[in-house]
Amino acid sequence: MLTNKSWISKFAAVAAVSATSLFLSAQPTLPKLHVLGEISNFNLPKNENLNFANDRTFLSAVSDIPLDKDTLQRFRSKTNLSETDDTVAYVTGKGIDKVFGVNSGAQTKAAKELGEANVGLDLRKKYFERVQNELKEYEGKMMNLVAQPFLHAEAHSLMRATERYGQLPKVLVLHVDRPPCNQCAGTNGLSVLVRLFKIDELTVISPSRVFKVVKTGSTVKIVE
Amino acid sequence: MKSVFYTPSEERIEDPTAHYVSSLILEQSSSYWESGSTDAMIKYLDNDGYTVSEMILMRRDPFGIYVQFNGPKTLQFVMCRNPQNPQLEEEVTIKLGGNPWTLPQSYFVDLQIAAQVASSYINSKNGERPSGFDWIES
Ligand SMILES: [Zn+2]
Repeated sequence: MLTNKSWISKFAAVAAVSATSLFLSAQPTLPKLHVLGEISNFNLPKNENLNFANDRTFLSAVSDIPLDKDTLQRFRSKTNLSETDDTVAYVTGKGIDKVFGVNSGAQTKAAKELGEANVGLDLRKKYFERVQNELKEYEGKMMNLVAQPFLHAEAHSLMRATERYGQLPKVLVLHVDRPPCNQCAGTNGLSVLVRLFKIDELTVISPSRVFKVVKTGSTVKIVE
Repeated sequence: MKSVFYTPSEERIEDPTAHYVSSLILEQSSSYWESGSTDAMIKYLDNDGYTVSEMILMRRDPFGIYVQFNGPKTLQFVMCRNPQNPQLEEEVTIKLGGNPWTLPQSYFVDLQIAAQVASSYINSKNGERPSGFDWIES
């Protein structure tokens, strides 16, 4: 038989659970975050005494800003983007609103949501040509062959922000809903736009990888 | 100077062994190579943390592996099966991070060759572009 005290505490516990269930059932169901570039648990050999610097959270040491999944998902839910192939990014910084970008394969589908003319290949080519003219790099080269980052969502958000605001703030944060490819994360990727746009520090936040592109003088360092 | 290896499944390994990188190239599945970032990278850093050079690997079955070497100032080289005439073979469209990329098929080399060039790069300990392979400036 229950004592008064234990009955009261049991009742309180049941009431709390019921209230929680009611509360939860009244919440609108949040859309599931698309898991782009999904990483399954592959059976990798790990018996080699290698220095694994992570378990996929290794790069968060450079920034404690969480990935803004909700904003990326809200943009995505207004468009007809592919859950597996398309990528959404946005860049933000002091004094500028969030400026979104998508990969070139998604730009037609997202054109209405992006809401401006000149969101397509012409914009990407314009900045590739600026690199050729101003940095004297990629001269005589074709963008499609040598500069895939210009076709990806991360660079697109930076280009569109530059179109809208002119000079960008010196410190920027970029959120992207897929692990950046190594063309973008490497020295010929976002680093090139950081040099072109004279940004001091670009922090890239993705589902699994976080890094900073930091400009020191005329060179750029990737910090992770 | 140290080397760092980024796997497609977003692991970061400092001073990887050539054996480990080769085993991922030769023995992992195509779905592994198309997960996560959908590519891999080995890079050399100097003592101040600046990138000395990079090698990007992108396996796409059944074509093989695309191997790109990045030197300073966006100078890029790719391995090519027909270095005298890269356009000899037709173009193929693959996806990088989900986005389509059309490339000459001759830019995809056999897995064995890719394992050799990656091993050579890792064992060099100096970050130089491995010699004795068919590179073209891309
Ligand atoms: Zn990319």
